Amino acid sequence: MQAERLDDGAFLISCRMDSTPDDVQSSLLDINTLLQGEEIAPPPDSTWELVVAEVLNNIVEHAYQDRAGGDILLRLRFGHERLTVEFTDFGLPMPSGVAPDGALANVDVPVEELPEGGFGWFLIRSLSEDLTYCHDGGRNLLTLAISLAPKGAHGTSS
Amino acid sequence: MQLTTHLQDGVDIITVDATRIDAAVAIQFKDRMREVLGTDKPRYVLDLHQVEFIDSSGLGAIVAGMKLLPKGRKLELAGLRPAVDKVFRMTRMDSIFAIHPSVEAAASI
Repeated sequence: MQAERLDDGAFLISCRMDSTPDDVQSSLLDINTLLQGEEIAPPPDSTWELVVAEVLNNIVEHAYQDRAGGDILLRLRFGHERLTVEFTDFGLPMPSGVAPDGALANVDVPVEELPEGGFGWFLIRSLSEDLTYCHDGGRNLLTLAISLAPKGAHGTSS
Repeated sequence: MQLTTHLQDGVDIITVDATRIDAAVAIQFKDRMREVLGTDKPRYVLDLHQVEFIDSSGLGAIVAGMKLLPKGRKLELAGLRPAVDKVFRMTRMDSIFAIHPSVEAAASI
């Protein structure tokens, strides 16, 4: 894990992790530790960690089919009001080559039929903006941005 | 991932002794829930006040816990921190689970 303060005040964190839920968790914990005390740390009510966790979980589960030994590269740039994130992996491409829309699963059903999954892309799409995805030369590259503006100061998302 | 149980005013409380319910612990969480949930109680309250972070795997694990109970028995939630509460509200799971501000509030019903 590497961290660097840029001239414009942004805080850049880069790391590499293995394709396991445990490694995803420990990477997120390490990133939180690095952010502690940083002037640029996201506001406490930010959902940045949820978005990043959901994308990483999807890479582990789908691109790498829950198999360890796959590389995931993560690059986060914490700016004053915006976090931009790049995820790179070398696993399977997204089905049909595009990132899912993330429709919300129907919860108006009897308890025994309630969905236990399928919320990840809904959360990613709802809480991020400017999402791009491409598969190129055996590599998946996904980028997105997350507003870090305090509540009430939200501009309209582009 | 540890769950502890106690009775408060006659209500069974299950406390999650962890700060995260995420993909790394979701299966463990489901297994522990299976161990602590009986079939003879009308309601259980899951105390989440220590949980600072939940992802969709954690959410799915709590839904799976609810489904372990026989029909008509309820799993209710208490002590949700803002980040956890937000996930339940966004996914509309707040319409499925009774959500109480605290264990005390849940036990007084």
